Amino acid sequence: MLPEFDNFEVKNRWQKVHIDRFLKSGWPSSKNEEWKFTSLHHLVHKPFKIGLNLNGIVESKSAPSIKGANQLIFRNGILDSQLSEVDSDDLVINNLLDNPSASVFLNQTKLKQHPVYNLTLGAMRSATVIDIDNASSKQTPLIELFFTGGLIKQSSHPVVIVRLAKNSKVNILETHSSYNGLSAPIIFIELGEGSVCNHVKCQVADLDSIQLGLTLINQEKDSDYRNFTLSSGGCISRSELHLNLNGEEAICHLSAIYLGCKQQHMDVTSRLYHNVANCKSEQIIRGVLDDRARGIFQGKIRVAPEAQKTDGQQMTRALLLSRETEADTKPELEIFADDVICTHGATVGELDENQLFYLVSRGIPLIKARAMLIEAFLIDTLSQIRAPELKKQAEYYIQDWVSKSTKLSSSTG
Amino acid sequence: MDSMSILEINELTATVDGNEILHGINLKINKGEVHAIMGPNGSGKSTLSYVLSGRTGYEITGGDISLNGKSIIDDEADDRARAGLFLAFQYPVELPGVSGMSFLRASFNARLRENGEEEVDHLDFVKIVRAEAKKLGISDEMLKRPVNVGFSGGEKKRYEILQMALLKPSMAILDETDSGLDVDALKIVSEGVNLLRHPERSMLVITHYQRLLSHIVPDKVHILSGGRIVKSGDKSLALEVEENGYAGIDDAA
Repeated sequence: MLPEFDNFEVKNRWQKVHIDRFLKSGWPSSKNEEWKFTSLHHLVHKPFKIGLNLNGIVESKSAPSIKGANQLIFRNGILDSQLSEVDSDDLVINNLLDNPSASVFLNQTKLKQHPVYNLTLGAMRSATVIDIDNASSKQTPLIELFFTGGLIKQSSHPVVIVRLAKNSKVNILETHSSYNGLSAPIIFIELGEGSVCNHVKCQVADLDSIQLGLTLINQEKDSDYRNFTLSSGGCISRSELHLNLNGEEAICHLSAIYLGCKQQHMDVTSRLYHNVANCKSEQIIRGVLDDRARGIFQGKIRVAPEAQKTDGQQMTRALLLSRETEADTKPELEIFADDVICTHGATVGELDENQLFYLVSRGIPLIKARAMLIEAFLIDTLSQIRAPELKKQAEYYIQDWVSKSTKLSSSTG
Repeated sequence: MDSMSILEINELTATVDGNEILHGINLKINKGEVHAIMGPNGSGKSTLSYVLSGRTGYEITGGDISLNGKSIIDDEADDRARAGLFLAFQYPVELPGVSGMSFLRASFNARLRENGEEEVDHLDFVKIVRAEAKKLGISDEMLKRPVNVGFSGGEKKRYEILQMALLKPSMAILDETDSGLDVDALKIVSEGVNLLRHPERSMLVITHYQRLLSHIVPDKVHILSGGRIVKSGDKSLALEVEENGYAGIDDAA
């Protein structure tokens, strides 16, 4: 059984194409190489109704609120304009579905067969476009995308598009804590020439939900994109990012953390396309796994024949807090240019007994000592977040998870 | 039990990986005294320091250890530390990603909490640390680094003494504090230790060589060999070792 499309009508005719593609391919199984570690085949037995209306309660975010944020609140995956509040004149917000060119814009050929992409483009009720043209502004506006509400039997398919004009800048905080049984959001960010975007995503949803987030980035010349993604929610979580470096001298830093406990399945997948010369990409992935959780990192870096002088770095490390966890890494380097620097590395380890003893020998209780070492393990991922208020959010969710996790571990011995 | 004694070790036996390393140690250290334990490699010196501080994997199989009159053998390492025991490590451990200040404050506040005192906030703590660090020639730049990361051998040992100064233990164990130090660094570290000598604080200085003991002059010297204390005496015993080596002492014992 696929999502229930009975009585479902697409908003725009062109969306039907995506629905049909999704219905034809269905949920991917592990036979699909892209989904080798994260089969969604069992979802066939778990029907969701597509969320069509604003519903579900809006819970206030547990992390500290940010002053001056332009807050867009999505309930059940749908923009709640009543609750949203945008003050900055730098931001122009529209619904792309009202625009006939939407289908052209959203037509990303590489993702033609992507199940989440097709399902969400077919099922979405609106596509929020935020245009930013603020090269002359002194301040960097902060957009807070807060996904909340929803119902456990419903799926949400929010689509947000952020377009940065030449030399514009923005900070984005994206928080997912909805009650939807399935969340499949798509966030597009288009960085124009010389633009700068700091993007922090915190997926901290309910542990029973399924989280299939897709982030799509296109970068023009001299643009600078920094992404930090934290995933701690969902029984199945896949945080997938596709990034195209389309203009020279563009830089991207991608940091991702997955934090898994119980029987969570945490997947971080990145697809980086160095399409032109002289671009730089850096990826840092850290995973912490407890109980029987499983963590996956799949990282593809494709360097096109013309993308000479590419600098691509990828480093993933997993920390296993229990013997029953599993961490898998699949680096995929596809390099078609000859003058490039591309490195990748992966390690898996446990907490260091020597370090723990040093801390407890100073009177620090074992729970606190473990927490300090787990946070230290993750700290490298925070170094590229330039906006302090965004960094605080990331730190908050890390500390929140670590304090809960270490308490649980110590009570079970 | 003598009310003057801070640390009392009775017939202590301990194993590591099932092998008995300590075969019945007896030792009593009174308030304010500095004792030295000397011994050849493999005599059980480091094992003794880990057994006293409660390291996992060092199993006490017999006897007792009391600190300030209370048995501590059932206490975890952090409990023992908060009860006033301090171990200055032979090889201080690097903690990448752990800020020095938050580490020092966490240990400082753990002690305060134990004593029912109010914890100090970051700003007040910085003042406290700076005052102590200055005495040991520890720069602000060093305090800002992650714990022991990028420190030289001498800096690491000074950082241990800084922790001792902050935690004000009633019983400090210095495990081969002289190892890896050149003459100048040894002098700075020893001066730091001597500044912390106090009528309310006892110390156990574990060392292989006599040279440390000409800087930190002990009240008593014990020779540990084959997991037992084979001879005790005053500071002249250390000089005897220097002259005749451990072999000579063993013969005498």
